[in-house]
Amino acid sequence: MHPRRIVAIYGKAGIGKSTVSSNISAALSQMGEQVMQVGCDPKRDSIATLCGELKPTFMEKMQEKRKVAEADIDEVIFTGFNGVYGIECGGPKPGRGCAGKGVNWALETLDKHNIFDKYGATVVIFDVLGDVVCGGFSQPIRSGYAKEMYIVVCGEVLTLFQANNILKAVVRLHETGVDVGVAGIINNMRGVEHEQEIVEAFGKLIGVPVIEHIPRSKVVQEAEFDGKTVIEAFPGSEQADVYRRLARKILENKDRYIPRIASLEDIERVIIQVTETELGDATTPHYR
Amino acid sequence: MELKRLSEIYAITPDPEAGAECDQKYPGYYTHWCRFMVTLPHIPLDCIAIVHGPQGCVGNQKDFLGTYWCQYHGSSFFYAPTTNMDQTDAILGAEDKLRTVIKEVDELYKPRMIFILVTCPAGIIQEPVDDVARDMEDKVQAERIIVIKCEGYTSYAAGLYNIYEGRLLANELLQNPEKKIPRSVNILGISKETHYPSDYLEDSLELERLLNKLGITVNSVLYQTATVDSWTRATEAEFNTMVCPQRAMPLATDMFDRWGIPHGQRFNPLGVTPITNWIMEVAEFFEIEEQAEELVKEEYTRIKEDWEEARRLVDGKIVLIDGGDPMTAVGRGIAWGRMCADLGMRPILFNLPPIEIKAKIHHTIFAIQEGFDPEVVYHDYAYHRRFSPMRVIEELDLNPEDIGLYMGDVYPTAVAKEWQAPVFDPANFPRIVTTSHCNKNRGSTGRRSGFTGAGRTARDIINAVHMAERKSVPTLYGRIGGL
Repeated sequence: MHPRRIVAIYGKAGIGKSTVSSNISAALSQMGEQVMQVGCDPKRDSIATLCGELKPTFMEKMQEKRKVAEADIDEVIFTGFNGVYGIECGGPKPGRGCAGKGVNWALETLDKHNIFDKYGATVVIFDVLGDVVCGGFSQPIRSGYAKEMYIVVCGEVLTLFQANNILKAVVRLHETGVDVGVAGIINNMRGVEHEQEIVEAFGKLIGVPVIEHIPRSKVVQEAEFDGKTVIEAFPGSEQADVYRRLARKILENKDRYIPRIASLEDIERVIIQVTETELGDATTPHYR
Repeated sequence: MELKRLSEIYAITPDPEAGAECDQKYPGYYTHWCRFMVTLPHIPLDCIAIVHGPQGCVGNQKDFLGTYWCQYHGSSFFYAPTTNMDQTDAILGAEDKLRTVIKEVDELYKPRMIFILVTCPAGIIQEPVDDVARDMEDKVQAERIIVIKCEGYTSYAAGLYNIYEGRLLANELLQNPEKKIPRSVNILGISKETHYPSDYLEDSLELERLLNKLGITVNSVLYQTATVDSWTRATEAEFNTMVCPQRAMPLATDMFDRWGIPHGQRFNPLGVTPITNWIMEVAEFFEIEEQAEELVKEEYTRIKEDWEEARRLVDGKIVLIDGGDPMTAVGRGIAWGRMCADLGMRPILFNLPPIEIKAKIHHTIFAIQEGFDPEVVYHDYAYHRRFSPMRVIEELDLNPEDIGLYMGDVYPTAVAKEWQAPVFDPANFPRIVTTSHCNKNRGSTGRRSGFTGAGRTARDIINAVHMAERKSVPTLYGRIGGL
């Protein structure tokens, strides 16, 4: 049995990819899906809220054994909230080795041992570090692990610049024949003024729909303090409803887009247009 | 295919640093001269090189160097322990492994110094090799730990590599002289041999023999297979002589700039006139010209009979010199050509890619400066593509009767009885095999330097001409050494 859906969540470091991914995983599990979440970030905190704590990583196992066998992989796959499986690729010690290559090696190893089939995963979510700073970090896209990609952004200009960089990698790889597409933008709001308008304008600029605006909420932080997802800690909250709605949209989505590449000036102009419309010239922010 | 002068090819060939233009015209050129490959054999003999990279780097280079370099006379084995980086190390880093290997090597071999040669994988992930070396220096018995970053992906034009290595080793190992040793010289640019007695006579030993007869001592022979002491005492010499200018010139220039040590201009002393010029240059510096002239006379008398007989046999004839034999070697081809010109022959060099002529700048410039500007077959060879001597003869419309000598490896071009192709029959041409594989010729110096080398070459030419007159089927024995 192959997973019905393989979804990759990309975004700038610190934007909230892991929070969004974990809550989507938790919500999908409640919809009857067997979810496996794969953290592809050396920061290794992707599945922490699903599993209640930071877990040992794939690359720690590699460090310990050098050659990783299938049985070793089982030791770093953990069962979290509502039966969601979680695995962290991890990374080398800071300042050493090559994390990009490590992430790709981990994904290849999972593939080689048919881990998704073995665990009966119907949905696999890759939570990928979005700072595509080198070929290594674009490798999950190139290798076909990110055919259906969601990009987490917020209304901050640098986040949109970074998202644009990810899109550049997508377009370039698509042009070389890689099966990849962006399915939507997720606005994980930070409280920036006119944030929804800015992100919507950005979506129009690049030709990809914004599928959800996730409001900033205290319950997210409170849940994380408890080592839990919002879905688990505050199932009756409005925030949990937002994550469930997002999970449903992803599950039902059938569209993928090849984005238009925007220049930095285009992005800046869009933001200025939005803020000028709302605030007038006097308060136009200067992003340069 | 056409004939051009060496100087003309040098002038019209793009600079090896021209990047894409060179890659397109001479594919394979850059990959051949891997920085690691040319660094490994130059580590001092009493030191050890740890290769921080995969075993493959060492294996491939040992194979290449063992085949093409070491089979002259010298060290037949480059031992280089490696950290054996694998994929796991490329992901996680191999700093700890490097520390372990440094300790092990230090305890096992007690080297004077430890060199760390960084190859591609370690370089790409920016292993903290300098930090490790600094940290480990206090923890080992070796005097120093020296890092050489020689990743192959930073390959450069062959003509520049010696500048890199020579200057790097010079910077690390040369010292301010405590004293000057009167009447002493260094021999710079010796490679592919060991400066100690073996079954065969080395070039440097032949040159040392001649210099000693003039009362001059050889202070250091640099730089392949030198020891640390050879380096540290090198600045105590009064004068630097050169053999291979490509290797010697950067070092000689540095030593002149930093310590004012003068150097000669004569190089690769193959043949009677070149070795005479080489000796007289040294003699002029020490103002012992008369003594040197006597030595030259005495040495020439020793080989005169063979030399003049060889000249009688080949004077006015063409000598075809295969420059790609066994790998492109501009200096070797030029030196052989100049020796043949000394015998009255018209040298034609072929299988020398123009890019190599341009890149081996010192060889080319020194030859032209000396007035030796031979004809070279001009063609945009793909790097390492070789033409058979028969094709050269046909395309240049040369008369086979005018070919007095062929210098090159007969194996790739010998007649094939079954298929009758290629058609070059070495039995019909006097030939001397010049490859490193077959150059272990008793009674000769490694590359035929000095009077001993000239005499032996003359004898080989005489034998080769007589053998060709037999028009017989070549035997394995006949193929080797022109006998």
